[in-house]
Amino acid sequence: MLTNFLIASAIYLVVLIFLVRRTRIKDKTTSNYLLGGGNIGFVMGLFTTAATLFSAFTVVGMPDFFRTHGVGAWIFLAVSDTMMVYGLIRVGEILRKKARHLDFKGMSGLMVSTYGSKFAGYVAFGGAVVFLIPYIAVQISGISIFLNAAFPDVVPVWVWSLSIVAVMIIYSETGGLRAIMYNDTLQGIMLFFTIWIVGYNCIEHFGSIEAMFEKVASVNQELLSVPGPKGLFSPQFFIISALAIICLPFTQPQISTRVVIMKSSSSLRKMAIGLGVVAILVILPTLFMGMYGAVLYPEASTQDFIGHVLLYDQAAGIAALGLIGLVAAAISTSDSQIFALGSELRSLIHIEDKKAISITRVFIVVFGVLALIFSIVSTEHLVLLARTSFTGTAMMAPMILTGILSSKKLSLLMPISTFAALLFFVFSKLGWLPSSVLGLQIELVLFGILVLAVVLENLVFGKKFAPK
Amino acid sequence: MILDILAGLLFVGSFTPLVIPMGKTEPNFLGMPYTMWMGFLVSVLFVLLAYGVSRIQKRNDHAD
Repeated sequence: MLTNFLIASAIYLVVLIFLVRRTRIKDKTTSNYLLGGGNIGFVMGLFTTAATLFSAFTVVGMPDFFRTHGVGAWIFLAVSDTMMVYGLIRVGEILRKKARHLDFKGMSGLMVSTYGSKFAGYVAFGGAVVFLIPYIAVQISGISIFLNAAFPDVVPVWVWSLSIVAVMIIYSETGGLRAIMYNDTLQGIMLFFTIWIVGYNCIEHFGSIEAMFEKVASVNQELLSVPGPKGLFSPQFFIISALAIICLPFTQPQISTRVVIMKSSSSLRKMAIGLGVVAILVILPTLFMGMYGAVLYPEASTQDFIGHVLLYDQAAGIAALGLIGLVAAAISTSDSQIFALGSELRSLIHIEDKKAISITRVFIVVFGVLALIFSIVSTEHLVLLARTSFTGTAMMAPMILTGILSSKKLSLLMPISTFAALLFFVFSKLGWLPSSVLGLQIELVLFGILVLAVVLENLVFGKKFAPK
Repeated sequence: MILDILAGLLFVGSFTPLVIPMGKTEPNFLGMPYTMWMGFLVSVLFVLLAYGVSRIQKRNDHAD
């Protein structure tokens, strides 16, 4: 299989190099380097956003979620993703208008402008760094460990991590956001076909979808309903996940940038609808993979199960494609996140554009290296921050959405309360503060308090500071 | 506005026993357990609602 993988990798790298050469930018500015020229059509917008959104978690985590916790995983991700699409169409256009009006460079910079305070920008930037870098690191380390298990004794784990980060940084540095988006398109198409070939093979094993569910019922009936065998899928869990995912286009800078730089409102709407359809089509085969695992590998570890479903139970060619698809899924999300952190930093710097871009490029490398180091020395705390990444960044949603939607002059209430909520959230995850209050999980409590702060901001503070 | 109300109702309904009844797999549809096909239906409905909103926004853009 190593030979097949090397051939597939070589083809993949050749296409990457071709795309990097095509998208190379000599004279780099914020507009062409960080914002990809700001003229993205519906097709590329759809592929780049989908590839950024569907990370290695979709390929590895979702089949494992279905296998371990059952069909409720569909509500957790697919239903939440389609809810997000509705929210994206509703609020996306307002974000685009505000972004045009305030010379958008990044969400942190936009927060500085809307709140009239650097502190708001620092909270948005800090939140992104604290939750995104561990997420990137854990993705890179997960894929590297998997590659090492697939090809033991070829190279050490850290060499796989280094190779992945090097590929990401090289094409990000050369062609900027446009290069990333071209690569996302390539990776998105590859991921889509791979996941469907594997998913189809899983159904083939049972003969039909009906036979598949019958077999799962005979193995573990609890997998076919909520809360699942381990009781994970409670209404509270679904609500928290849905809130976190609905807010993604505004709380995760790599997605909000794509929303802003779409060519037109019409392109954004088509992209959003396409994203909803793609979400259903991408998550569906992971259901088949998960049910296959529930029957054949119920007790296996995640790595063993994924190894079988993606590699050992597939024909050699498909297995190689599966591995490349997995690497592509991790790269297409991580590169966008690292690059978005650079853009966020740029949006906080107010110096001459060329100098700012040079600093940003240095920091893109720094963020990449940090992710690499953390992926090699992954600690329990980092994994925890990565696992709570979406919920953590969702804490910033009330502040960001107030900034986008409000036309009043805003006070510092939202940035201060968001900062406090982020601290409380991290400390409660570390076990230093309670993780629930009166039976409600801390995420819901903090979100409720932040919504209350939004009401106060609009009814009391916003009016008080409104220009006459 | 009507679509927003429908989306709001669908959002709330998604977290009630109507979509996620605890420990219930019946009634089946095309061999799929209840929560699975109901969840699938909710996803499709959200995409359709999003499509409806996008059509209205497009009309408003043209009116502008």
